[in-house]
Amino acid sequence: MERSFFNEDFDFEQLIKQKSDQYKMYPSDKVWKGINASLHSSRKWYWLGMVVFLAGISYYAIEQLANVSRKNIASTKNNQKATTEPSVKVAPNAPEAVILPFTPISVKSNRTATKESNENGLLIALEQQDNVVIKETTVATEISTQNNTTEKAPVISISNSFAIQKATNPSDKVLIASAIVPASAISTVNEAGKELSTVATDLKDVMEATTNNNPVAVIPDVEVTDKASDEKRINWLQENAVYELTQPKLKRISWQIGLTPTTNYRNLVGNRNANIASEAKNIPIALNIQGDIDNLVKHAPAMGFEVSSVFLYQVNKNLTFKTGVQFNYARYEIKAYSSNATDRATIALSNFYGTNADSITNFTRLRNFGGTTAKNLQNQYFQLAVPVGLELVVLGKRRLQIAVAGTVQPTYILNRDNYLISTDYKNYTREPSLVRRWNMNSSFEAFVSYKVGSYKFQVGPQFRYQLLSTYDDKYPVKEFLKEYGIKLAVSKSIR
Amino acid sequence: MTEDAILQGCLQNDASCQRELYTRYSPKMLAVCYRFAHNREDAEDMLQEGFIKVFSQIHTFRNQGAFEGWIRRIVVHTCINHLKKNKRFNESVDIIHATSIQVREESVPSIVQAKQIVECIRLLPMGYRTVLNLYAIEGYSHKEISDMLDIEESTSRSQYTRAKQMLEEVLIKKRIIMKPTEKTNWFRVAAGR
Repeated sequence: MERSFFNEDFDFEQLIKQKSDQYKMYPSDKVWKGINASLHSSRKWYWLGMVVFLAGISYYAIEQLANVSRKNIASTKNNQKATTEPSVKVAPNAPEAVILPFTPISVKSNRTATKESNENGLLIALEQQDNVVIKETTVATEISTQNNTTEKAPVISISNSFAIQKATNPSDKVLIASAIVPASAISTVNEAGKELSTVATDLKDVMEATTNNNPVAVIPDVEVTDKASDEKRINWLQENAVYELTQPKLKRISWQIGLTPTTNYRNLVGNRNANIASEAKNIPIALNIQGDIDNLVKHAPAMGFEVSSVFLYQVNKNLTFKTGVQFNYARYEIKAYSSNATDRATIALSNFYGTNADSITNFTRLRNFGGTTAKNLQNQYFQLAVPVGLELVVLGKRRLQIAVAGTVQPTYILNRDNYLISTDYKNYTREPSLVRRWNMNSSFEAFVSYKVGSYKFQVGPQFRYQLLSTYDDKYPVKEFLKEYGIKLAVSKSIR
Repeated sequence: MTEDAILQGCLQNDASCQRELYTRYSPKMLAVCYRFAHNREDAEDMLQEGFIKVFSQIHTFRNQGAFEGWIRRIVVHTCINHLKKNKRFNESVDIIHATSIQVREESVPSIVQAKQIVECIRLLPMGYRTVLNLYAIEGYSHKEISDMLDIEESTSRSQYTRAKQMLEEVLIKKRIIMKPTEKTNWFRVAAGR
């Protein structure tokens, strides 16, 4: 340093220096918090975030799978419960509702009630016990009626699986039916010879009869031979049928989770302007290195992965729209050298016109060429992305399909502390301010899928390419990450 | 804790050693940043950035000089980069030929303190201030300054001369020092008050 301590400026400069050096300022707490967060917690948070993300996906997947089996179990239990544990309580003093079991009865008409007709018709098979169960073979929408005006009123319900329920203790009678069919005024006598004073022609009749402790007969469908009666029955069904056949609904929305082990690499594109500028600025001035940057740096691919959770909307038979969230861990290795001497790594910055108006200088011991020891640097990228794209089935029928898919992915880069090369290609340094926070990726995949029930399993190759350079436009060297992988995914129809 | 122990701890990424190092040097380094910065907030940003670099590049330090000096160099370079990035330095170049600055005269001379000197330095235009800081206080040569700021060596010299003149005027107007025509030693005048 060429300092003039001998002239008359000496005292003035000494005064300035001495007083300035004496001056101290105490930084606020947020400065240390920022430093500490940058040095320690960042990576921890990435991993923690990823664990939470994966745990969330797993939990949701298990929950979805468990729900399916729970529903099945629940319906089985409900059936059992209907016959053994009636849920409706009736006051102890309530008059006994006598619902006569269906047994072959004599019908004073030209109709004949047969067991076969029961099985084939709308109704009814009865099981004679304390609790009476009427089963049916047809499908009906569930209907429940409950007379809330008095506690003594029987409760009658109709459904496709279990219908009319009443009573809570063994002496109570439970009627479970699925529908009440119309019947003409017929007097019936059951097998035991007991006359049935009431013939149930509709739900109201059953309720009335049970409230008044009257025997009631529920008439099964009968073979009808004459056309007029048949028509009458059909008309009645249309007007009063308590069931509707539901149309099977097309499930358009699916949820997919995917895992893709990837191999990551990059394309580097240099800039001639950068060479010139950095040659002029680097001290000591050394011969500039010419050539394609991709050939001047030694980098090697490394393994990474991608996890995704997306929703799929089936637009039509062949086309599916998809969007969701995705986490990418990408990395690659740089073969560099470490040296004992500290070098000045100058990064010449480009302006809007492509000329070098500015530069950033860092100190580093990492060299691209000729250091004392070889050193492998690892650049890691933690990215969150929102893929938006389409899937197109190109081959296959319902179960086995071959499809292609493409997405664009607005991407947020979680970390920026990666190594970049100085613009004279001589040194490596870190300059987070030059790394973009937001980027855009595209992805293309082809896969084979196999459908089992509501699940679809798929496997196939995937290629992902970064559309914008990792670095800011000011940095003349452009880096484009690319990933090759095999995607494994499972999707489930949800709605 | 000794400096060596702190250094070893920092090399192993030990948070308590990093905290110790920060506590030890941050007051001085913040004062350095403050002399370059536009305001205190900017100075704290520079300090934070500088210490992150210190910790991330600490493995490059070889015991060939003072540790404080090494930290100081990193912090100074961070300040310069920060000014360049935020275009503050470029903007200041435009006003670098300002011939005078407004200084509020104080009726009663105050005791010369470090803070007054620093505040007077901060009254200078950014370009003058940067060269003065680098040359007079940080001890860089004009050649090094020209490399750092991408200016000619002669420009650095002329800017320093002007900066010094301007600072003298400020200090005299604020009655921190007396006029040099009386051939009085600057230091004695300042210290004697």
